[in-house]
Amino acid sequence: MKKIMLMAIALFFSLQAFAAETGRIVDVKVQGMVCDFCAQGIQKTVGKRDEVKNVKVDLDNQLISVQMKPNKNIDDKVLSDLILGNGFSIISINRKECKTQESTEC
Amino acid sequence: MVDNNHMENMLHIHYSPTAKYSVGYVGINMRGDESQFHGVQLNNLLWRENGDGSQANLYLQSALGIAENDGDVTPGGFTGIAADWETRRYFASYSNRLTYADDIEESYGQNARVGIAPYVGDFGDLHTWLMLQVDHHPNEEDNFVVTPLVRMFKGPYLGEVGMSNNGDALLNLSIRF
Repeated sequence: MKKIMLMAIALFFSLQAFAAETGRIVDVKVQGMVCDFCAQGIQKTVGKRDEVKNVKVDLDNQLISVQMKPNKNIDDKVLSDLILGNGFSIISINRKECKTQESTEC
Repeated sequence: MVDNNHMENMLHIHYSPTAKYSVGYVGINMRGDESQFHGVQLNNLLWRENGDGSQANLYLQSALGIAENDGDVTPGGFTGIAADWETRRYFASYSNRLTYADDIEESYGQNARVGIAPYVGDFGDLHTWLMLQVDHHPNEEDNFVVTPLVRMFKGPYLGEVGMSNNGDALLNLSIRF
């Protein structure tokens, strides 16, 4: 019984550590984002959300990558409204889990 | 935004709650007769087309305020459309403006631009555009003025420097807050 308790505690802390290291990235494919100066607003408006850790803008691929803080998420509707409010059209929203917060290999 | 060219010096400070419109202060000093205009400007996005690698816009730009010249003060305003189309490599724009302020100012002007980016930078890089602007003011002695200019921007700062065919400088600065 004591062994089972110890294993359960160890498993609990392992899962906690894994959850803390897991990072969620939301990739938003857009249209119309051709100008760096015009895309500045995206990084500002999305980046100032509490749940967002970092925002990367890729003009070549018309892609906005939103990296979430640990155990945080952002609703598709909220994210869509922010991007549409900046004047771009949304093609798709894809979510992926990364191995660590710093990793972009998901 | 601060624009300085052969016709005028303009200061425009505006706030955009959404991409659909902006509202703010506009101040214009006409270089010819030193008349001034101070007013509230409203910019409305009438139409936008987001393409795969391009964006086109059509705006209505209007202002109401007061004009002043040599001690005379009168209500005045202007209205006009502005259209632009750009990709990451090419740029084209057109705008016009009809201004009326009783005895102080009554004018119509339009301008068009074409531009090309000699290189395509990533987000956050220093971006450079080579542009050619043509101004048409039917009531002026020099009906057509041609201004080659360089536009550079990085982050929230955008600057333009040029010189017209009659030797007047063009200096524009825009900052996004």
